[in-house]
Amino acid sequence: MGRIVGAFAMSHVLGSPVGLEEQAERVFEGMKELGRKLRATRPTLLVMISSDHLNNFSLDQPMPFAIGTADEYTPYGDMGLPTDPIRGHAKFSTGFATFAKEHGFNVHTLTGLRPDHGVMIPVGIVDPKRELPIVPLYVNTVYTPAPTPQESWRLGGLLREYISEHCPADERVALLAGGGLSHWLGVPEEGRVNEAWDRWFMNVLAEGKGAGLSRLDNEQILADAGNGGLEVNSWIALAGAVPGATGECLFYEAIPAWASGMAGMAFHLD
Amino acid sequence: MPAPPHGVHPLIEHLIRTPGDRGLIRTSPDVLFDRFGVPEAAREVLRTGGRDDLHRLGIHPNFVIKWLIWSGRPTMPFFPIDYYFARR
Repeated sequence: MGRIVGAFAMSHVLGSPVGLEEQAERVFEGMKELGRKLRATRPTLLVMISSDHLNNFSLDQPMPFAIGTADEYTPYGDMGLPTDPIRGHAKFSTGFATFAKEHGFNVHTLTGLRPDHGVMIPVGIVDPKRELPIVPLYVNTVYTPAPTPQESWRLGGLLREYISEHCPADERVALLAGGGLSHWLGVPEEGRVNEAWDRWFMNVLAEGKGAGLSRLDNEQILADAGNGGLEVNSWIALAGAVPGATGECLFYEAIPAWASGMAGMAFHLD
Repeated sequence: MPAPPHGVHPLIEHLIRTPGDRGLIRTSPDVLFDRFGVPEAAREVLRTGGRDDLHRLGIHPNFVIKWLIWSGRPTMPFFPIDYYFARR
């Protein structure tokens, strides 16, 4: 049986440092520290849970939950991100999609995937030498209706079961959720950040009470954390994979100029 | 939120898949608008409107951001990702 050896979550964007150099540096250093902690768990595989930004998915063919199934990916290259290939893990990906389907949960498989910044900023920072195979697992909150917290929590549970029941004993899996925290993007409220909500959300996770977040509904999240804040469903999926795990906030900065509550967390696993 | 004007979402999805056509937004937008049947009433907003104008048209927020970046009217300033990635 495989093991989840690390669980982490972080915002999946960066912004211009001009005029806020110190704050930007605190975020970047926090992301790098998260990466060091992740690598210290000696993973053999990284499952990256995030949302795409409609660079790989169409509004006409909603795929609220999806997974890349290739052994190699060429990044999309948005935001000027490097496009040198990253390794995938087709066997894990296709196996998990099948496992989820057998349990009544539809995880669409995707060929030709070119991961955008939702995957590539976190992966680029936590694995700068491209040493780990990556499984891009999508909780696509760009759709209306978006994946719900309850569904996302269940996805995480299925991921835990799959890793423990179907992965080889020497598979050491690190999980990384990307996105959030509160942000309003492409709407009149853009630039608003709800720091109080962000800190509440992280405190619930840090106390190991992520199950409670699965009872949120997207209308509440939308009102409190914005359309971009729906990306916290990736964090809830992560929490569903490590239920009861406590954690710590590694960094938090409210940055209206980036239209985001920028955060990172590490979870404590036995 | 209203439904977006005809052709706008397909147009933007085309530009996502075909980056080489994005330059037409600045040089010959009507070529794109004609190809996707974008109604006249929406064209001026697409050419000159800001985030909130595009939002009022019913365009998906993610597409609003993309359109404004490609049009040279981003809502947030450009920065080189290497500012960070060169120091990973």
